[in-house]
Amino acid sequence: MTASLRMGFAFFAALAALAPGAFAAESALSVSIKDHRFSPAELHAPANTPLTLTVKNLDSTPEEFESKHLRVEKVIAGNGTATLKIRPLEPGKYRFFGDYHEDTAEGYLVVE
Amino acid sequence: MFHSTNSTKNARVLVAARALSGTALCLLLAAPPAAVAAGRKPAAPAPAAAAPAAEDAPGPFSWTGIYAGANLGGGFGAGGGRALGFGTDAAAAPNEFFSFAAPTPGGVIGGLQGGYNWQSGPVVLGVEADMQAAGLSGTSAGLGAGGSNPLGVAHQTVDWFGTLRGRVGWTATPTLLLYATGGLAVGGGGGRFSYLNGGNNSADAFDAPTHLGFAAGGGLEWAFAPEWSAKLEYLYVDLGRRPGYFANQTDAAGDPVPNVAGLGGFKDNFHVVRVGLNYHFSPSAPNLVGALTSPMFLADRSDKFHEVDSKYLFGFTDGSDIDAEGEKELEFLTQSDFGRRRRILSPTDADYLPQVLGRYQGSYRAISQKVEFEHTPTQNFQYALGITGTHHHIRGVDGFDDLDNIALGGLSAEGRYVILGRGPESPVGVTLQMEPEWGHVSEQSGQREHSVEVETKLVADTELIPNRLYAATNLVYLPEVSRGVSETKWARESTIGLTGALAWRVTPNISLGGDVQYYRHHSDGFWLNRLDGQAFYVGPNLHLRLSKKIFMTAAFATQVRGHAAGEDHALDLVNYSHYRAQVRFVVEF
Repeated sequence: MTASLRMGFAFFAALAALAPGAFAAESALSVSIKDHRFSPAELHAPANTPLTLTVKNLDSTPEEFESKHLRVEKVIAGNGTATLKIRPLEPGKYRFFGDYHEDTAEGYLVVE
Repeated sequence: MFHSTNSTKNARVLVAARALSGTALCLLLAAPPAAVAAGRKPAAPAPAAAAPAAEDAPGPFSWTGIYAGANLGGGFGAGGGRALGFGTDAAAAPNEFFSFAAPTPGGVIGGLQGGYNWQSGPVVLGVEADMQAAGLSGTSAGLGAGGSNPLGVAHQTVDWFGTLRGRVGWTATPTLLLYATGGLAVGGGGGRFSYLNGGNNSADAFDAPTHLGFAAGGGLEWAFAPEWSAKLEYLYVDLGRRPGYFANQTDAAGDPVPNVAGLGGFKDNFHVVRVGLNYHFSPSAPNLVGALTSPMFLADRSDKFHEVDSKYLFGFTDGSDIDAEGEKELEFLTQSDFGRRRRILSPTDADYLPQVLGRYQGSYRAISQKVEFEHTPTQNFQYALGITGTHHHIRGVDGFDDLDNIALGGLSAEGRYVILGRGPESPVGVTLQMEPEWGHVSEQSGQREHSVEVETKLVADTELIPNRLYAATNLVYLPEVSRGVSETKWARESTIGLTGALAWRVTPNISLGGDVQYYRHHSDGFWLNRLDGQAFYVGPNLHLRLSKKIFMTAAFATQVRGHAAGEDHALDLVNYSHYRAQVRFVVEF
């Protein structure tokens, strides 16, 4: 049984090591939030490259930067800044939003 | 939502005006349409003369469109027949006869329905399908004459049924619909015939047939909000006559004797009274094509239906999503297995008669409560640590010792790795999850044991309609090793399963769907060595998002097909329970 357990964990470890794009160069992006809107509302990034996304909240109220498909979520204090690391992505249009003001705070990361 | 052309709008206003001024009944019931109209926007005035000016006002409520919802109610045995039985001596002609009122199964029903309505003037025509889980059961018994003074007992259950019906309705007011309905019905359940005579010979026969029949009834449905309606419905469901039951008799020692016993003549028909709630996807669509292509039904209404985590969107089937990096969750999962076959006693046992006359099923209830902490350290990997408590209540169940027990069930650790992320990256999401668990009591019997199992699932899901209709499938493999506390030998078992599920988001925060599950249980090794039994379950699921960070799911399943090795009974109630239910409550933080 313990052998099965070890095999299971070893399998996960092997899968984790196979995560794509581990050797690609990093790309830096930034976006700001003002009046509960993203600016720019559309970001562009290269595919299969690790990304660093800096989010500046220029509003005085906090906002939660969130994206289901990027699988990131971060609360940013009023007038605060947060930096998120995003895994290398396949080409596509990834939606992100401000969870506290989802009606207005919406943007897209276009990976190409 | 109300973007019909002016001409159809005007036509509907005329319809409404006609309906409103038509009958005294509609005057009495004028409040509902007023309430609906108020909820939508300013109402068009009722007089037909005002119609041309109503260009900017929304049209009156129309029943035309697609709807789906859930219902809950009761089923009551119609019965009405006589059960007729006989016994024989040796291979001779029957010399004992008995006759008694057939069982009248009754109990709770619940399920999902969906359909399409088309309205023309005050007339509404439609088709509707529904699928119901049913817990109807009934027992009856009678003493016979002749031979060895036999006793015959019949027990009957209806476990599920579904119907496909037409509906013809008339709108008493624009929002109150009176309708008649009728069509095909299909359903199944269990049946059992027990026989005992004065010479302590006994016999048992079982079946679990699926029958095709018809359903007819009527009801009223009230649209209390633009997209919602509630209904009260009566339905008579007739699934026809059960086949006869025949069995060889055994003597008090359990040895076969050359006598037979038989019973026949009872029916699967019952009355259903149920209340239901329907969501109307496209209340302004002029016809079916309009409904299917309307924004409410198909398009991605991006202002409302955003992406949703699919992990807990279904019932017994998992979705492929994991949480956002860094997110933590507490999950409270209550699972209940209930319904097993009762123990067969010898006629000389003291409690034989109470048992035979009592219930078809023994009293079996296994409830587990799991609390799990989940954390997502990276964008591809999630783990969870869980602890489970169990409660078992077992009385007179075939193959189990009686037990009333609350215990620590086990400790578990789960890892989930996203192989393919559903979304812009791929139309299909694929996740591998492995959950080793150390067990402290047997999940089935509740008895103390030591066990280790590794539940392994390959999870795949997709969005058939983006952000609205989701489908998932799980391939399950569960090797287990266990040893009872008083035993020295470890037993190896394995289960393989395949499940599938659909979930339809009726609103951004509510989804309804169904799960099918098929499992095969094996012993004597980890690699599907000796087949012990197999079971197929069907049932509905519900997902509710209570807030951005809190949601719950509920699911129910009935075993509709199954077979245990070495048993001639329908269903596998040795390795699997008759019913399964689960409720999950998740808090993100």
